[in-house]
Amino acid sequence: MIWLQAAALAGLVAVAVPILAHLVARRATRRLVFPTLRFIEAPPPSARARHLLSDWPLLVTRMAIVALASIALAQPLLVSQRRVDAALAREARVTLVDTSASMLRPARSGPGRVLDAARARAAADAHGAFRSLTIETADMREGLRRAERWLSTAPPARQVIAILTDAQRGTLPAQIPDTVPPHVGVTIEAFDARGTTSALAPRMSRVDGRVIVEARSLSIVDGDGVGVITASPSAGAPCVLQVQVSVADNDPALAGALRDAAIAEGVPCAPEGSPSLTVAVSQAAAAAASPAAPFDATMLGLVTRMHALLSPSDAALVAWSRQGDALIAHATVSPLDDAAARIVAAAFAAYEAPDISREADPRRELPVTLAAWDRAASAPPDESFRYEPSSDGRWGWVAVLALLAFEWWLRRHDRLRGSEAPGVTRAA
Amino acid sequence: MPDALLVEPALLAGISDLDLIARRVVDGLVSGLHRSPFHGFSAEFHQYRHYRPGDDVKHVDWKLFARTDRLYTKQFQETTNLPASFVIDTSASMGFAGSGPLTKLRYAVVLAAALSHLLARQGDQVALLLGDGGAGRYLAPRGGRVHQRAILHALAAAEAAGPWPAAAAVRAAALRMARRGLVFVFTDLYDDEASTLAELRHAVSMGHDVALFHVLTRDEVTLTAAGVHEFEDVETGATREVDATAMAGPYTARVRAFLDEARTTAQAGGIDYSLVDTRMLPQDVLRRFLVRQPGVGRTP
Repeated sequence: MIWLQAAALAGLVAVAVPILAHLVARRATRRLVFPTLRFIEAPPPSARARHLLSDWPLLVTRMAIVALASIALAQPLLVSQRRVDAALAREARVTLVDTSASMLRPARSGPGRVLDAARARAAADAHGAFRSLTIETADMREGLRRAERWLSTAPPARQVIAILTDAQRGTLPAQIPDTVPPHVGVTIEAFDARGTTSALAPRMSRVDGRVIVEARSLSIVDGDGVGVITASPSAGAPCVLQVQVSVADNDPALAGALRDAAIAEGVPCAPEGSPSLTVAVSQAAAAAASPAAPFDATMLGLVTRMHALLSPSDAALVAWSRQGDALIAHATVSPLDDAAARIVAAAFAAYEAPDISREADPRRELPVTLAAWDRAASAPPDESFRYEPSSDGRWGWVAVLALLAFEWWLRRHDRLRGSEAPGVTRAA
Repeated sequence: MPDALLVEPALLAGISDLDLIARRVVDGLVSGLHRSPFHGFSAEFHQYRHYRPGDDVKHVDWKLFARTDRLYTKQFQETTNLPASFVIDTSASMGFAGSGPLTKLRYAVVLAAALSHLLARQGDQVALLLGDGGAGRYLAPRGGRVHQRAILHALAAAEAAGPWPAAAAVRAAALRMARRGLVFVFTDLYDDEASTLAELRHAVSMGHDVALFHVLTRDEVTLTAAGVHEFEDVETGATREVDATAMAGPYTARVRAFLDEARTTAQAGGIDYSLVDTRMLPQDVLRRFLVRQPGVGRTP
């Protein structure tokens, strides 16, 4: 047994109060100076004995009431195996919900947005936790700092930080920051993950506001086995995508494959860290260019990549500019490059179709990176018992109430007997 | 009405001039009696009446018979020249006042002062015995204003303390009277009442007229205290813890038996017994006492 409020046991000293009250009450009998005692008969010994016998149960009852009240205030807790298990399973959970732009896209696994699904999961997880906090943020570093601050003040329990995100590349640091203590567990749940990813697609992600293009290669072979596309973005040059593409002109099959590949690898993010993005292509550039229709952020990555794929070596130049919230694409396309023109047109048309945007999935962190963020929490310290929602002290209060009723009955019984037996005195 | 107010026990408690109190009590008392209630052996001529057979021939006025040749019998108005002795219980129990304004001793002193004033006004001799009648506590029967003043002074100085040798005091008072007289005893009869009443009966047998004023407070006759009390005997210091509420019934019955016994014994012995409640008007107490005297209202 442990005492959650052991200091309250000092109240046991109050057990002496009924004894003192008993003695004081006996002494407090009023003295009356009287002319003679000849007419005042002494109480018979039998009545005196009854009086003493009736007083002791009253005194013991009152002492028991005070003692039990003190014990109940001290909140005793019988430590059973079930309670030990429950204490070990107690969890203080901080749920970080990623609210970046990629979480706003429609969820493929159900109605609503990915963010909505994450919020629902956060609410469900918080319901079963001993203590919980949900933080919504687009900046995971800041979210982790806030989580750690809250956990440092949380009651003793197993401490866990759960991250609900779509695991878009760049959302998370490469590893758990040192500011998160080792005893704090971390879990990541990647929401709305796509079943497969293409290892051949160039990957764009956003890190600290910059667009990072990974040095990946893209290889597409047409039906004749002639056309081969290789894409190699330049590392270390954010927001500048240089893609080398070898493509056979006027090859509809290849163009379709390129379009599909480009759409499938679409990145729903905008190059926010750069006011413009320049794509160099290998074809000879046309002399004149006409403004294209405005694109939104989701379309940006798609079309950018398509242009990159369609521009094999030189000449073509596509410039991007921002007008308010809208991004404007300026494409310089060779008149001879009909395939490029068709693909661009097809891309525009495809984007207009409502189902295309759902296919646009963010690039995710590698499984090995996510695995590095999966860490088990340490067991809570023993004092976590102090945060039991209810102690066994309630049984003490029940006993106190029962004894109070018994004490009332004793006093009433004593009064009635005193009135029925003349000469019987009561001292307390 | 002012006289009536003055003799209220509550007012008497605040007045220290015993002479004033005695005069007021007597003034209010005598105005209702019109003549002396006491009867002695001296007599003053009152009137003649025709002789009737059986009259004592010694009262026949022979000189008048010689002049008128008719037999007349002289009738006399008796005068109050009796010696009177006041015996007052000064035991500690007499210092009890209960819820009343006066202690029993103080009330007895007021009654004694009034009666002594009444007697002194008639020229009678008054004696006083306080407590055991020791040194300075016995004043031999005398008349006159100076003696009356001494009587009142001694009464005013009386204090309730210790026990009271009741029987010895009564015997001493009766024996110190040279001739037949009146003996007034004021006591609560808590000190060996059997011996006290025996001595009073003995005084009656000596020819004295004995009046016993049994002075009690209402709180003694009926136990008014409620709840558990530790009763302490004022004379012995003994204590007894009882529930007064539960004890009230048996107590009252015992007190009534005590009072009945005292009254019956006193009356059987020729003692004029008066039970006095300290809340009563002193003049009412005295009037009831005097009305019972043989001389009051008697046609001369």
